[in-house]
Amino acid sequence: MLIAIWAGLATGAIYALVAVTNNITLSQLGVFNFAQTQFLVAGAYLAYQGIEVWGLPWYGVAIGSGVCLASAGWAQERFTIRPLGGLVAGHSATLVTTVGVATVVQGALVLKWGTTPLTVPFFGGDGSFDFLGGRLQPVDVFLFGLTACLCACLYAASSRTRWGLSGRAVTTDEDAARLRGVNVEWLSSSSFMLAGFLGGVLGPFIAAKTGVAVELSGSLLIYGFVALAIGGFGSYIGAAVGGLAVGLIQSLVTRYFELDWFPITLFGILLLVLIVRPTGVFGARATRSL
Amino acid sequence: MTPRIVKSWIQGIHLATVCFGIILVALLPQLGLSLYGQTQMLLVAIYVLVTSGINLSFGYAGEMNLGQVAVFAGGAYITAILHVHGVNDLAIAMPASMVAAAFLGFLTGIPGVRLTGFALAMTSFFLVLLIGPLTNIFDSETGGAVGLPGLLNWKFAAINIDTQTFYVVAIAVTVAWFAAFRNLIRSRLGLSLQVLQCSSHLARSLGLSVFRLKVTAYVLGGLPAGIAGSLYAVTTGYIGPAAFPFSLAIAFLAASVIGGSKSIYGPLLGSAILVLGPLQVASFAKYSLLIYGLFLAVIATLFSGGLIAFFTRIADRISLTRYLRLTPETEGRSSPTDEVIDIPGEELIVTGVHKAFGGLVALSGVNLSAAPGQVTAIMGANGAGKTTLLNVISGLVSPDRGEVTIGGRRITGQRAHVVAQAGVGRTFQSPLIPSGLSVAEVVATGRLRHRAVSLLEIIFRAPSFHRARRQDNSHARVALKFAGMSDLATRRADSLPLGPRRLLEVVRSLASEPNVLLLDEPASGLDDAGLAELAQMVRRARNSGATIVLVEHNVAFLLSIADTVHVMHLGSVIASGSPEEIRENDDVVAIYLGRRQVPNPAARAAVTPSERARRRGESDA
Repeated sequence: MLIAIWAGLATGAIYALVAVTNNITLSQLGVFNFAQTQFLVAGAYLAYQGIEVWGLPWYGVAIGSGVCLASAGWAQERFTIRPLGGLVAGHSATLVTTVGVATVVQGALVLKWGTTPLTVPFFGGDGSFDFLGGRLQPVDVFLFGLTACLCACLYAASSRTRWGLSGRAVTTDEDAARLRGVNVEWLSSSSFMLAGFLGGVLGPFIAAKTGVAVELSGSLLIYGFVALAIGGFGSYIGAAVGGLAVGLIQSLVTRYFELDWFPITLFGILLLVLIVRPTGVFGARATRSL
Repeated sequence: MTPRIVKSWIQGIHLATVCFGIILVALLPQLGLSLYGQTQMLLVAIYVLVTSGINLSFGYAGEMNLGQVAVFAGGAYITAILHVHGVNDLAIAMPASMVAAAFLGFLTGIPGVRLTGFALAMTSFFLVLLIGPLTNIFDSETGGAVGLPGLLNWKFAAINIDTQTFYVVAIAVTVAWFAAFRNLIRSRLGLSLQVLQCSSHLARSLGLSVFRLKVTAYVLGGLPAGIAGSLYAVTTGYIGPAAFPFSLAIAFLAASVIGGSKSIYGPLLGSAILVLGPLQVASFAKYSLLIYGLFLAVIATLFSGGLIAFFTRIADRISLTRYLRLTPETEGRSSPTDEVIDIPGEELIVTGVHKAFGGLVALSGVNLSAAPGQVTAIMGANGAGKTTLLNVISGLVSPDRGEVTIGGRRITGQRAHVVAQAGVGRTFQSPLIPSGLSVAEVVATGRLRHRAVSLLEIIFRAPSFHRARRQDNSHARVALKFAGMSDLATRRADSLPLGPRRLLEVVRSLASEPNVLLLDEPASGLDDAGLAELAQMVRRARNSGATIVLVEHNVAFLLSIADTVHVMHLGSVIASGSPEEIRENDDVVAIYLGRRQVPNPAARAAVTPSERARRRGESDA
């Protein structure tokens, strides 16, 4: 039981990271970027290329792919979000273009690396150790730390900095924010770039935990989304807690029933949350307007 | 030659071309199309079916639903499972798949009732992930990960069919659905969906039940996916969970977006490009994801209407087409040309209405009435509760206490669309005009609350459908004539400047023949010419018998047009009377100009005795 709980939390950390990075554009701009999860998967592939193929140190690879994917985020915003004119006005078009960019990234990954799953060893070793009744690997410890750290930093940035408050203004009323001097273009660019950058930096860690496979993106995207829904769209803490919760549900359902029941259970929970409490457990902002 | 004859000729040629095209496609195997080519054509048909469903829910109702693949898979599995159990007659399997698809469409619609935007897109996307696990859990029926092979030897209505006959059946079924789809879009349902996409408040205020409309859109959108699944199982002879990956959801969405999501014929174009394009060739297949993605991103960014909109613009340049388009559908048919319209106004009575939002009391015991053939104006500063009062009357907000009746019928606490059906029409502070509709169509949406036409009547173009359409069109035309806006009838409504757009909202309400008409700040942002037009329209509507309740900040305009004025302050009516009386009322002057003054007897006279009695009674209580 304890083993299952710790294993679930460790997997949940991955979902938490997906949810937290997805939350950046969502809380800053009100845009759900379907491509963000692909950026995380792309980060894992870049980690494979850098560490396994080229033999570079992991931190160099992390920063290098961070810069690469930040540029990808910039380009996505510049060419497929901004021309739609107004973040709110182009809402359903935004959905379509982010799905499009996600598909482009996935297509590119398949072209370059094929569909055979790849592995990247963790720089901290792969031995496991006992911890409070569970068995963890070094990578799990790093993932917990990264989740907590990212969540705390982004939470502080969103509630304490001018950048975060501007985001709040923009999601409330873009035109009013513009008139009050918020540089919406910069805010939009920087949010996409930050999210992309984190996708690259997290690559070596995610690759070590989940392996590198393009098939992962679908389930990561969906479980990350469920994490956001449980925690409340727009809340970083909610995203992290929601991610851990999804991991826990996965581990427990798999332990006591079968793996196949997990997505079905999770779908039920998602519907329940969205219908009973659409703002999630920590949700500050409503998902629908009256 | 009259325009009417030319038009009917053009329509005849049109119809003949379409029929010829369909027969040609159906006869392709006889004309030597290879087996591979036939399979490709069947795939196009399958894509057309699924994509038209996506257009219904995404393009027209505005909700991105990525769960279509799950419905498609459901249809395929039902047909396959029936075959395994010895039922290999498509005349049974296909309807069964449709029933399953309608049910799955309904299931995907349930989250859609509460959710919108990305949350709905993701929740429906989740369904695709469930296909694998569900087939594993029920592997005794579905064959689990292996799937169901050997789906051969089919019958249709007890007759054995070979590949060529199946091809004809499939094309016929696709054409039949496509005709139904076209008829559904070109009807009140299509208009209703576009109204819903614009605003759910607008939909309610026009008498549409948002719940029913959304569920209808999802169920109808699911049906063709079920048919497509059934055809798919027969076409490939094998199905398994691997046949329904995420990328298929993307491919369907791409077909919809490329052709044009908000179009009837877009699915044909998008499906043909996706299936017959070079992506299916093995050497290109590895690029397919990349190119689907590019298509989605580029077309959604640059050509918002899809390729069909692009081609339509070109076709519009051809004179005959333009001629056809500029001739309103019913021009020349018998129609009332009399400009006077008859609006069956009824008395509106609001009694003791209270409403608090948390600690903020928006309305504290409002009493007022509005009579037919009169303009009853409500004035007051921002925050006085005017719009809340209109929202209470129109059912968007339910009051804590109090009663609203029209013509003696109690409408308090009814949901907004029920109130609208009962005869309350309204306009909004910022005009809500659905995009992509012509002015005449927008006015016709005012008629949506009248006499529903069933889906079957729409699909089969029953006489009742034509009757309702003729009525709607003639009412829309009369209302436009009444407002002096006939010349704008074919213009795109969302391209109009603010003034005409505001007037258009009023005309839309008038076309619904409302028993009570609520105008929420119709004059704001209008220039003098616009004000004059609005004033004239409101006066003529009043003279036609309408009960008009007008909320307005433009005091001069309001006093010039009102028969009775109620002044609201902090949630209650503080003065009522004729415009002259209100102009002289010291309370009102004090509120508007900030003068402190002891109310004098003249001011009290402006308040009707009954009003004063009610207010006194309340302050006692």
